[in-house]
Amino acid sequence: MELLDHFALGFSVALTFQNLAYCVLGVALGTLIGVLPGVGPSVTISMLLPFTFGLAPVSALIMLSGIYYGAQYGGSTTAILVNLPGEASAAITCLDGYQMARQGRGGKALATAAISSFIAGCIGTLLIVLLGKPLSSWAFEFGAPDYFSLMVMGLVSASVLAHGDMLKALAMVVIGLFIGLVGTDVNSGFERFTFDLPELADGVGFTVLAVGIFAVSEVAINLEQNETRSVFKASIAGLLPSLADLRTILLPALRGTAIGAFFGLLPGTGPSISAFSAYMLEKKLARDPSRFGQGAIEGVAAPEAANNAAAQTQFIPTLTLGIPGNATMALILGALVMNGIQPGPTVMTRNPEMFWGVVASMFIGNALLVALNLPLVGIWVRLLSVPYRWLFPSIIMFCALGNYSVNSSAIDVYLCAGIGVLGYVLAKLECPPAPLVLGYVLGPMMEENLRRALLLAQGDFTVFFTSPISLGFLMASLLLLVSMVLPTIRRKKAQVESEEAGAT
Amino acid sequence: MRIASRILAGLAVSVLASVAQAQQYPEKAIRMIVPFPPGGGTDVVSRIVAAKLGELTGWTVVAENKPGSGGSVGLGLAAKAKADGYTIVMAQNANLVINPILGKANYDPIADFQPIVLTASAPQVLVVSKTSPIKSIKDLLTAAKAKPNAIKFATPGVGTSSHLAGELLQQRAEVKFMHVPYKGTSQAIPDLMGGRVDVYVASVPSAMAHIQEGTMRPLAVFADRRSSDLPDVPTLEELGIKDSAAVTWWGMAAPAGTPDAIVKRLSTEINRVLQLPDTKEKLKMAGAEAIGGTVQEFSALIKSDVPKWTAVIKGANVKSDD
Repeated sequence: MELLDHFALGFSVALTFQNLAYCVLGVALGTLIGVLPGVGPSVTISMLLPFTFGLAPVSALIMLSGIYYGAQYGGSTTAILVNLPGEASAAITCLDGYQMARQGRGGKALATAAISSFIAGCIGTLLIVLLGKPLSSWAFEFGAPDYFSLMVMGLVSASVLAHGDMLKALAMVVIGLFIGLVGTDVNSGFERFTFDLPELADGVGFTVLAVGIFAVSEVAINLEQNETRSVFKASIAGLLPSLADLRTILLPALRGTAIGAFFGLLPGTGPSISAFSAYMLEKKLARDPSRFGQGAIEGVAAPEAANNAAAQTQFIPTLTLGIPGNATMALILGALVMNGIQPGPTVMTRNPEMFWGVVASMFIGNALLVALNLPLVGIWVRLLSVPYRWLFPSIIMFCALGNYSVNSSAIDVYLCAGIGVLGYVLAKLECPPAPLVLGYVLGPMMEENLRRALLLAQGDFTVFFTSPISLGFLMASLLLLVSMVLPTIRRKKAQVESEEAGAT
Repeated sequence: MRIASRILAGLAVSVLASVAQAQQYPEKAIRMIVPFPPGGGTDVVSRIVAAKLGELTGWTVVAENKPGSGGSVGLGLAAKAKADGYTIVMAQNANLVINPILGKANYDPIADFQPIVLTASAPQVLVVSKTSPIKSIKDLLTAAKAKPNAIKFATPGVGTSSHLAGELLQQRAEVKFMHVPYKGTSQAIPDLMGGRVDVYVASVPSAMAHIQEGTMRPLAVFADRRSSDLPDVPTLEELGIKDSAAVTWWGMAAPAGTPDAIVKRLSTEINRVLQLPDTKEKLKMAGAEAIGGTVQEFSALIKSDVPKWTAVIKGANVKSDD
């Protein structure tokens, strides 16, 4: 019953008027910046960091973490409504969310995103409570070969992302890999494809790519059409999902949560990869995979749950090991250290009121986010009735603003415009954008870990089979491959046989 | 006679003008370029100095983040800025001195910048995992000598302060480690803990939590004297490895050609800021120690760092683009 005591302590801290106010402020700010493309949690947190020095550490952390997971909620809003991912991790939500909005089911998509995020947020927080300590050291078991094999599994399952032309999907993965190569090579320190521009030395930013390929190209495509959006305006009624819808999204949301929780624990991965993986799993499991990309409700529920679960479980390595999984977590860690708290395995016993207070605030924060977001759905959907001549320039303006704000670099804005043109051309050629983004995300990580694994093993390739974790992932990839190839072979064989039968 | 007096008058006017210029300075906001994104170590150090400088003098000092390419983007902008005293930059040894040697910057550390004052510094510490059989620098060097390229040395990237500190140790102690570069620290530390790599060089503040928890064991600091945070950890110098200091430093600089009077004024005021107990305390929380000193001292430091690190980088055969 120690756990109950901890909860009592946690809620007694989180429910003080002051901390409750910081929690509300944090999640509200998070939702707001999540909606604005490019303006992400890391920019916001770094701007607010100086103001938190005067606060009690627990209040500061409650607010900062509220901003972080709040942004994951808000990021899906513009992804669904105007194909503009507000957060990098919401890029995958564009695929089906935006299609739902086009079919007049925008409200439902938004509500689905909020509910899935809520489920994932609560389970993710519960995982921090129950498994924080045992799971934290688990990250130590993951070496370079294991990461590599995990990425292999990711790329193999990516083939299910393709609907229609397999060749085009593969080509997109390769283009994505090339874009991912831009920047400084980790092993040698050489710059690749940077054309002597120092701004490119750190690579092409995810925001630049995602906003360009989804939002800018979408605006360009829409400019070709006349100003009639009958499908869009048709119905914004039925804002909330029906009971049947809820039943449909429950399992995908739970599976997404599991995937997200897993990736959140591994440093360097996190919400974006989780969202991709969850989406691919759903498509693989679906009875009719062709619905995906055409407005499948599971295609919204699973990735939204995954990115939120990852956002929560990322706190585990940050708080208990002092190892930040990404840039935003590094900022939160910095805030802790500057407030005199040393994160580490004993943080739960050394600063119990801080640890449990923040955990309790996450439950409250997740509930607040649903309370905040569901009523907003009606307002957001009205955004769609704004005439294109007002909506498009504003979208482009926010894209430019968001991209500039990440690095204060004008090159990023030009690059985003260029990628928008690429996105437009690809859309005209009917090439799917999702495999490109996946290649961009996974490719560089795969290369980095492959080379590191071989360096550490002194060129011995068997290292991928001697590590049990790595072997497990490779076996799973093989099974996946067989399960995908077999039906095709059987079908072909049947086809050949029937043709032969017909010939004789 | 007439000409001479004219020249004298002209000189007097120009001297007066320059004095007047320094007295009126600043007439507008001073832009302080921060070559890293908000929230990092350099940003925190810069913002503390900018805020305190504003409080103390009543000037408007605006910190502007211009990140990219390990600081080369921000320093490149500062080098090309108008040398009127209204653009200053928070340089770090990694971007002012090291990046040009690696061919990763289009400026010269000595010709393109006017040093103002050495602001702060932070020591680096060599750590191993608590489970490592290596208990001391002696153990480490014995193992490295017995089998070259067997000790796996993790760094947060090629050419980082951490990497160069390790190279310096290898050259001074005449041993060879296997260099395993990572992209930042988030995967390097789990690999150190998991025993997949053997040693790591970290800045003292970033390793403090692990050292206090006992998960990492500090073996030595790369500095002239012991760190106040780790009083029990010897310096490499004490262990008999000469000329092995590798601290991270931050210093204020301006574009070359900034009027002397203004440089002196800025140096005086920033030194006053660094004397304040509150500044010292705030910098300490950010993991840095306030330093201060004259323009000449900072200039001499840069001039001695350039050949030192050029030699280390050449000796280590760290690849660069040109």
